Order: sequence, then structure tokens, then C-alpha cells
Amino acid sequence: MDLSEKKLKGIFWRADCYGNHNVGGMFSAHYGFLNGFQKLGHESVFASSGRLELPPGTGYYFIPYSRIFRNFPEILNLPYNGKVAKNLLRIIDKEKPDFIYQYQADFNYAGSIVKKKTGLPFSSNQTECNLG
Amino acid sequence: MMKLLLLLNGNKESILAAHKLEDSNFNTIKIDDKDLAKPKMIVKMIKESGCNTVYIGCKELQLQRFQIFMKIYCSFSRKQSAIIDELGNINKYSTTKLFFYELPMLAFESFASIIVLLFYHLKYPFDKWIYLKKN
Repeated sequence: MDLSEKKLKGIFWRADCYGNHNVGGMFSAHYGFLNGFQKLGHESVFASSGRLELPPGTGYYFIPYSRIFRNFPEILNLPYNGKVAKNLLRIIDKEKPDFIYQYQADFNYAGSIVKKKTGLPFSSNQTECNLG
Repeated sequence: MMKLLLLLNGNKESILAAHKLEDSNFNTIKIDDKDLAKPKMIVKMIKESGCNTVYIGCKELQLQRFQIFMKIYCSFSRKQSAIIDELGNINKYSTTKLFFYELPMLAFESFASIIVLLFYHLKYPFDKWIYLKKN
């Protein structure tokens, strides 16, 4: 892909449960690269499990965690894999992106489902314990 | 009478403004999510504040985990209390609600979590087997 000629659309996706902790660290990094991507004339959409600050003009999709699993660590990530993959596939159908970028910091294999079903270029930034 | 605001996350001014509460009536203590794992410390903090009303402030109630434990600590401190957020949402403490809805829901969550663990303990090796077979 030649970034200088084609206008791209990217889905930036964060599927971990960060709850109300949405400042600093990776959130600044998300803002930075979304901002840079837009300044280059490309389009971006963000999908995540909680609100966060995004550059103006960035589309946003909220994919919430279950309201049942709220009090035990990690458990909530297991059923979320299926839900988030299903929702993201719907978003991809609607938005028709050129690539997907995922940041993930907990138990997650939804990225591999999405990659397998769409075949889109997929970049993943994985930390901590991941499956798939 | 002073009120106590245990600020878990979010902006104090935004939280108080969203609930039309007067800043000057509040004694604010900043706490961390990790502090919620220290019940003795939280209950002692509430009791020693001498306040008759306790608010626990956060950015957004819908995204805030461990609310049941906050309610349990509030029940031990025997003060009027509520969890409030920047969007004007409120989750008030009520003994009836705690014992007849929230604690049974926690028990249900524990049971459902065991089911989820068992299910995924079987599902993952199966999915891996299918994946490796196809590739």
C-alpha cells in the first residue's frame, strides 16, 4: 500500500476492559497516532469498551462488557471474545476499512477470529497474557 | 454537616456539578482502585471522617467495576452513601437492595463465573485442535 497516494480508512480497536482508567500511557499513544493518521489525510474509526478522548472527526463504536461479570478478574474477558468479534465484524461490514489495528492487554483471541474472517491487513499490539 | 467524597477516578468538580452538590461541604479523599481491596482501611477512613454522608465518585458508573464491594464497605460504616459519576448517574446504597438484589447477584456472578471457566477450559483446546487441523 502506498500511503502517499491512496486515502485509507483504518479501524483502531481496543478490546480490553480499562473501565474508567482512560488517560495516560496507551491512551495518549492512541490519540497521537490517530491524530497523525488523520493529518496524513486518512480516515479512522475507533472501537473500544469504554469512552476515551479521540481526535475530532474520529468515528467511535462502543462495545461494552457484560454487566453480569463485573467483580472477578479476567473472567469477563472470556465471553467478551465472541461478543466483540461479532460486533467488530458488523462494524467492518459498515465501515469497509483497509486495515485493522488492535491494541490488547488481556485475555483475547478475538483478533485472530476477525483476521481469519475478513482477511484484512491486521496489525496487533499485544501485551500481557493473550490467546490465539 | 460535612460530607465525604471518596474520589476513585474522574474530576471532583465535574462530579459535584453533575449532582448539584456544593464543593465547600465536602471533605475529599483520593483513593485508588487497589484500595478497594483493603476493606479495613476504607471503613476506618469513612468512620474517622466524622461525616454523615459518603459519596464515592467515579467517571462513569456503567464502566465502574467492584460497586458491590463499595456498597458492602458502606454498610459496615453505617453512613448514608451513594456512588456517583460525572454524567449525573447515581447508585444509592440501600440495605434492602444490597441484601435482596446485589448480594444474590454477586452469588449468581460467582456461579456463572465457574460455568464460564469450565466452558472455556473445554472450548479452548477444542478450538485449537480445529484450528491446527485446518491449517
